[in-house]
Amino acid sequence: MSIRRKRRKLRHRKIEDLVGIGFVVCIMIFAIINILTPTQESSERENRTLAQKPTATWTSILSGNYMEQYEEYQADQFFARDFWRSVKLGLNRFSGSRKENGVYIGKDGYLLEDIVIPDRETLQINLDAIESFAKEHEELETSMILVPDAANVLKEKLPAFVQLVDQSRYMSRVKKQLSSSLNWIDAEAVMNKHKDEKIYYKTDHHWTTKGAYYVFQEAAKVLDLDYEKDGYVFYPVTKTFNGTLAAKSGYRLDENEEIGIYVPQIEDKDLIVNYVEEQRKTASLYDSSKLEERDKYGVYLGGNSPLIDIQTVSESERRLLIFKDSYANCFVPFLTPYFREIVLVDPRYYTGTIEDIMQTYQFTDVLFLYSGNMFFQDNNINGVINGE
Amino acid sequence: MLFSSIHFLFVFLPITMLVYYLVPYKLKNFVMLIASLLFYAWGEPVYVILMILSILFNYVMGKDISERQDNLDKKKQSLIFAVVVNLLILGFFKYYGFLMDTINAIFPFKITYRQLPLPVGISFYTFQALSYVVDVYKGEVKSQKNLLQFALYIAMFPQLIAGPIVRYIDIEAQLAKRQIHITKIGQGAMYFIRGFAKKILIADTLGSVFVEILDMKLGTYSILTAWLGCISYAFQIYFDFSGYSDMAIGLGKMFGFEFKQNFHYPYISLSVSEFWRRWHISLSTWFREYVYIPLGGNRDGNGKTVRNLLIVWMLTGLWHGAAWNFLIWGFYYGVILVLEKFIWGRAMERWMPIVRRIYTLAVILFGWVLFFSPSLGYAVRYMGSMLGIGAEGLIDKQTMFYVTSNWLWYVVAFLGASPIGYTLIKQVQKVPTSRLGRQILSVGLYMGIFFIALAFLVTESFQPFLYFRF
Repeated sequence: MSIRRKRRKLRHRKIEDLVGIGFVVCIMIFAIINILTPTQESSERENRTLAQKPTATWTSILSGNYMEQYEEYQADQFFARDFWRSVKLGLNRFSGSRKENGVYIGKDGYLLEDIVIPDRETLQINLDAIESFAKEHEELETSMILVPDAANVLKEKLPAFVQLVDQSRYMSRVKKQLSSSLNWIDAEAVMNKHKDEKIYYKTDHHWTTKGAYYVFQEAAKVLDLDYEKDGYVFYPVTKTFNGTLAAKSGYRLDENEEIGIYVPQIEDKDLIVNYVEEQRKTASLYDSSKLEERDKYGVYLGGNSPLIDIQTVSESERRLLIFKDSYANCFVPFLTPYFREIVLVDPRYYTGTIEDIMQTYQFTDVLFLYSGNMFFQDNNINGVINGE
Repeated sequence: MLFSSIHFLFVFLPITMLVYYLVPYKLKNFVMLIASLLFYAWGEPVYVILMILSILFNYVMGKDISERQDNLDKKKQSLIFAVVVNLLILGFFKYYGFLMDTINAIFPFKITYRQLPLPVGISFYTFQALSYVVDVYKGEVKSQKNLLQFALYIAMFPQLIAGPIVRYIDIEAQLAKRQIHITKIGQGAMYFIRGFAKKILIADTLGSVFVEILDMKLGTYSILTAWLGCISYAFQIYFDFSGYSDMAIGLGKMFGFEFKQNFHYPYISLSVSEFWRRWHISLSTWFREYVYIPLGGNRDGNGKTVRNLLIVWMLTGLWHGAAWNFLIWGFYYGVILVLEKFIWGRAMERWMPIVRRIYTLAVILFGWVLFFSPSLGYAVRYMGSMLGIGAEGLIDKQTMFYVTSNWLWYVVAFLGASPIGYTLIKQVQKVPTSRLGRQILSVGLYMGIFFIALAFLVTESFQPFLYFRF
């Protein structure tokens, strides 16, 4: 058949025929492209690892696990993932969507994470564990900082009509139970007082170092730290930070934010940071290699580690144990001048029990430092304290 | 395997199509059967054995019944045996736990039991098998001698897992001989794309609004939020299930089969009985043919008719799940249909269409509350919220947030649930004046819809079909 006749034939085809040809050709071509596309380890844009090809075993096939994992792998490794995602986001934007993947697309460029509603039982178990820990170790000065999340402080940045649960209510519950057995450092009042300043990142769920600094000033009073108000100089370490909320939601991926650190004015004191489980030691609280990665918040203490031991040359005799989530990472640098040793335990990753640590070090102080959302969904605190 | 999964669309389907279209005609049934068994085994690697046993059993029983054609008693014995065995298998997997719970609740002692997970699609393929043995018994069809063709009838992957419930009588000829050509494949592709978009774009999006509302504490939201939750569910279940049916019909066409429509714009109905003639048509037909009419239908006086209607509707409720709220949901429709038939059916004809529409939709929406509620107490309190009892005002920020951030999908759902949407697509296709223009526009329209739905599929997390539970 000549090309011309072919063309004429195509023109006389019914619409159904053309859609049929289009569909069949399309799924075949996509199938081939999918096979040819190399498997990606992780998605830079979404800031998460992607599912990998599962290995087949008889048990995993018979239980159906293999098929489930295989389907996840197929979906995660679909070619041009970023393109498909942008099509979806574009349409959602058009339809007025103000919440994407659990992230509110707020005003003035703010992305805000939904407030976590605590599970009553888990919360009670955690609070009881903390309370009994504080009572058992009366010789230690125990304190707690619970930092409210951006959505609770920056309510006016939320999109129109959004009404979130009141995190303050949950925080006061925590305060009510614990304030008799430990020192309560009121981070909420501090954050609310400074809410017109940039105390939270726009594209990330963390507080900024500035926010942490304000809370530190409050904490210094309670912890009796002899700090000088103008004792720190601020300087930015990067201006191209784009946080995890941008990655999660797909919005504001072009926004560049500044991460800065506060350095004591008096000459930089020596210290040793020991990442115990990674068996790695450094002489700095900051890991500048993380500034090359997507999640630049990892610049503080290299991201999340189960157990970190910081030894300083401070003349103080005090030794501090911190139970913490990632909010603490940018807070710890303020503390180093006042403690000889600081040990950071992240119950989400730490698998040992607290007694092991208590026996190794002679602590004088304990601090619980969490963000509201993380504290209200963490079910590991009790496990680490009570060794369960 | 889900029709709306990457794995189905870009691994299973292309390979199956390629092999199926390329092999000689004689081998096509064989290829289709192997593909269907693989399809089922992918989701149910163990229960595929159960389905094969069911196929063999019903094949043998069909032959047995037809061999006893001359002896009415023996024939009847065979039929009863076949029906009882089928129902026992279905009952064991689907209702055993419910039965034991009920017994445990009534009697002072406790029996412990182990409930096995429900094999996907068992409610659908058992009903197909039953329709076959009954029709053979009634002499409406000959028993199938060819095991391959019979196995294909039960296991054919487009309709295996969630219907439509195809009657053997409707498909007998196609199992032996059917036409496969590009126009039919194209019609199938159009059906499939529409169904795919219904499921991925509308059902899943509005379904997530419904889930968020259901997750909120009852009594903390307004009347309109309660209504919005219910309406979102109504859209979700319709687009989920009719989307699945459209995909099944489309796939059937691509492989040369013609299935009947399973949905025909149910939400535009002017009465509840009309709704049930338009909703899940293959199930209503099945119950009419194999339960209602054998019970005597409406021929033995009003009393018997009422009894028969109530039996059929309670069974329909139970078919959807082994739980009290499904039973009550069925009973609710039974009662309303009886009332429509005997009390206000005549009067309704004089009502204004708008009144009939509101009445019908209200009955349906309150019905869905019974259907989606985790417990009866919840259903009653949810209905209370809709009527203003225990609700926080008429309207609140939540309502506004859900409406403003999903308005596009509510508009699309509204258009799609009525014939307006389809008419609109047809009109758009006619806009260009040249034939070439129309061709480009139509192909672009369908492929565009396909790509948009695909974008949602690739990025969204996994969402199973609602009717897989049944």
